[in-house]
Amino acid sequence: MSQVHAIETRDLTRRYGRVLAVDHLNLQVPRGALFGFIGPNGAGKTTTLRMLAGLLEPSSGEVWVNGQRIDHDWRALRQVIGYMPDFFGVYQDMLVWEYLDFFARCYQMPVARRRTMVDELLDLVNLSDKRDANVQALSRGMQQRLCLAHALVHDPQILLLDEPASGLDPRARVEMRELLKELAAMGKTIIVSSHILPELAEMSTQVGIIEKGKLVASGSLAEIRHKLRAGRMLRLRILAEEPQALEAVRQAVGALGAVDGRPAASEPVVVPDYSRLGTSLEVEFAGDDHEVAALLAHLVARGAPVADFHEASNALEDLFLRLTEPGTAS
Amino acid sequence: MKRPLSLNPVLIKELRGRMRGPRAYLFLSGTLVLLGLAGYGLYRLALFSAQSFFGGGVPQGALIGQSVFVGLVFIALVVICAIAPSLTAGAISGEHERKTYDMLMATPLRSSSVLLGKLAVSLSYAALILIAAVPMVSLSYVFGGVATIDMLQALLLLVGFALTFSTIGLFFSALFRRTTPAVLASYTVLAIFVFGTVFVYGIVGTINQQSPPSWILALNPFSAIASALVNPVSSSPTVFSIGGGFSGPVFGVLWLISGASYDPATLALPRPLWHLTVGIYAWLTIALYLVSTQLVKPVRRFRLRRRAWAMVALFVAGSIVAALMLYGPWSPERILAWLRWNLSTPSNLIANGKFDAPLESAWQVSTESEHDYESGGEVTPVTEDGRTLVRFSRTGEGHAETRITQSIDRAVPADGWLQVRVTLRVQSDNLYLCGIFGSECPLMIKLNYEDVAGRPHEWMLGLNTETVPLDFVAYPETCTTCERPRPFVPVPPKEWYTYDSPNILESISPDALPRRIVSITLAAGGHTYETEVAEVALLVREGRPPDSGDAFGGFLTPTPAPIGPFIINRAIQVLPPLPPTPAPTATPIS
Repeated sequence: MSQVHAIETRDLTRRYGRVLAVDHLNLQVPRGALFGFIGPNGAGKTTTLRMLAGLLEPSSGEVWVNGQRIDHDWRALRQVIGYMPDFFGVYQDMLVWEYLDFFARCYQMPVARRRTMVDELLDLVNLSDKRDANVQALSRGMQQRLCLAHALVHDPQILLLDEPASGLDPRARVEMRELLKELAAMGKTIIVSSHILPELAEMSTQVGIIEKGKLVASGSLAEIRHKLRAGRMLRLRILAEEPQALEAVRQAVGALGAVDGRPAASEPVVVPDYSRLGTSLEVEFAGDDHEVAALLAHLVARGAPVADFHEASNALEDLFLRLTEPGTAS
Repeated sequence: MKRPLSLNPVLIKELRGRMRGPRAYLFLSGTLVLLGLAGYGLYRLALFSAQSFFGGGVPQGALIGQSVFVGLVFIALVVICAIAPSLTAGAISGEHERKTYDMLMATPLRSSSVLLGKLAVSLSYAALILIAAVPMVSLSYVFGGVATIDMLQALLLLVGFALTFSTIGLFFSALFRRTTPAVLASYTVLAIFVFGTVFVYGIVGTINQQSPPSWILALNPFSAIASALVNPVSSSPTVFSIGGGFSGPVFGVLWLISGASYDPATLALPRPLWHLTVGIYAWLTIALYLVSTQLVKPVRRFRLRRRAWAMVALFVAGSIVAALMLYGPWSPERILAWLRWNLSTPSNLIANGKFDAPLESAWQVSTESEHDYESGGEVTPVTEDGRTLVRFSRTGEGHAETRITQSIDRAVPADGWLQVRVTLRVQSDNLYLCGIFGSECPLMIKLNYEDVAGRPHEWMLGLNTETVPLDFVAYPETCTTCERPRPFVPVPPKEWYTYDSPNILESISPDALPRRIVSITLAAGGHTYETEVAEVALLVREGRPPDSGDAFGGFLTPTPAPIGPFIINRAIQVLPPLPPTPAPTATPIS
């Protein structure tokens, strides 16, 4: 525990009346991490982030930022943290540059830096051409980017982004994701919340999964998989009839041997896929990337005509559904 | 990092938003049109009244000018009451409703900055309207009768009210976090201030069948303005029906709601109501602002650290002290008087007042007698029970006076304290009271003094044994031949008695107040008498005991005040003023 975490919570709890929104949450976000904070709607993500941003008082528990306990000095915290709320509003009758200028003034930024900072940020979030537009006239995606820019005004070390991609079209989502990668590359610690795991899984260095106010899993994606012994779903298409294809896969799995005392893969399941040639199969695979490669090598060595070999994209969804209780996940 | 000179970000943001677009223009134009129409209407009304009730030599121009001025001020107040709460009632709740509250609160901006910014915007908006209305109001200069100071006072009061109403709106906005309830609550409070107070005032007056106490109206901004602008005496319907028959279109109502009452005999006025209103509003504004700073905070609301608690305690104590000082018995004048009184020590102007030293060392003995063949009496030092006393004795038929005099020649403070103390025993006295002229008491104390103008005066106090005369009507109860006599002081016969006089300086009318005491004389007068004096002292002291005056800062006891020539308090005097207020007569010592 010698490493100082950018953010650490100790038994962080928040009650709304009798409802436990956040239940003894112990979160550790290392410096420079891009932390995906994932959970179904109503799991307590927003409540947690608001507590971290100093906007909501914890019922109990502690928040530590950069190794310092935040007790009453929220104002110091606010210089370090940039917060983008999930639902955000824009002021009426305000231009885009005025919007950023206002927040820059709130952070008591000197006049000279304010001017350049506004332009730099607009450039960063790709809104330079909208500098003199009315904030209300922006599209949803632009407003979302503007809101992200507002959280960057004071160049914070830590960014708390509450569902930054919600309500965006796929193109805007990709843009937002690129933006986050760029910010991560700048060395900022970023906590991004989402209710969609795959959206974050690709870029997150760390993931925390929250369900009903409790942290059910955290760590890198691989660690979580490992901890849960959860296999990944491999999809294969072998240009052969069903029995031959099944046999080939069974043999290859058998040749791979046991992983952690268990068979490396489950019994292959035939997936109906009438649009293509051959037989489509799925196996749940417990091994790591080396073992996946070995499996493919065994298949190829046995002369199986593998036309397609990939990890099914909904594997993360399955993981997510497995982690969160059935029925509550959306 | 702290940049004290930087402008409040909230103020800049709000100004940018609020002043953009046609709304501000339209509103300002509308208000000015309203004021203009009202001004013209007031002018027509005042002109009509002045023409129909012309009389009393009151110049019409001034009355028209004053009518227009006061009317416009009141319409401006209506506008302020109508808009001030709405300018701020959405200030904090709007941030919640627009979902911008979290973003704002995630910045290091202090809650006080947010509130001050919002307040400043509201005030600047109100000030914009008021300043735009100033040229309109100054049209009343064309007619005359309005002083610049009146205009400034009205402007300051209106801005102050706008601040208070804005703070009320802001408080409810922060409390409810939703605009609709905040607006409702703000206007409800305002309605209580404006209509509720008048209603209670009326009810109390009806029940008691007399003028209700004016402090009921203290929360009413209209009453406060009326009491500030409208002279309660000269605008009262009674005075006008006698004086000129003109009361203008508005002044009857204004006089009524200003809560003013005056003593018709002395024309004495209580302290004007707006003094109280301004104090209460200031307190309310500060208190609501302080509570709001806590309500606005996202976390640690009302969790104050030690320093903040000290501030709260200071505020509470400060309000109490301020209230006592402004409206209670701790007025600065009274505190200063108390200090002066308690820091001063009485000094005795008389040497050898106990007669320990030989009599002649400080006193001159003199006698007079009506008949040459009779003695004027004797002054004899006698030692009794270890102390020396002086005996004034005489036996005879005709009038005589036996006296000892000491020259003093000492200055006395006109606003100070001067007291005579004498310990005496009247052994015998054969006259009723103090004789037929009241000038023959068994002991008389006479002070010879110079007044401020250097004129000589004599102040006399007689002490007697109050033997009741058969034909008592013939015997006066005060000296009839003296310049400044006092009612006689009764003393018991044949026993020692110490008399302490009240403050002599308060018993002398202001035009004859002493500046310098020349001499003191102790005299026994009559036919046959024997009076003994063991001690005499003339005590002088800086200051007066601070027990006099109104314990409610002048709100209860009217003090005589000059009445204005017209309706407005400080109107320019275009006519010789009404007969001056009778000078207050000195209250006699009872």
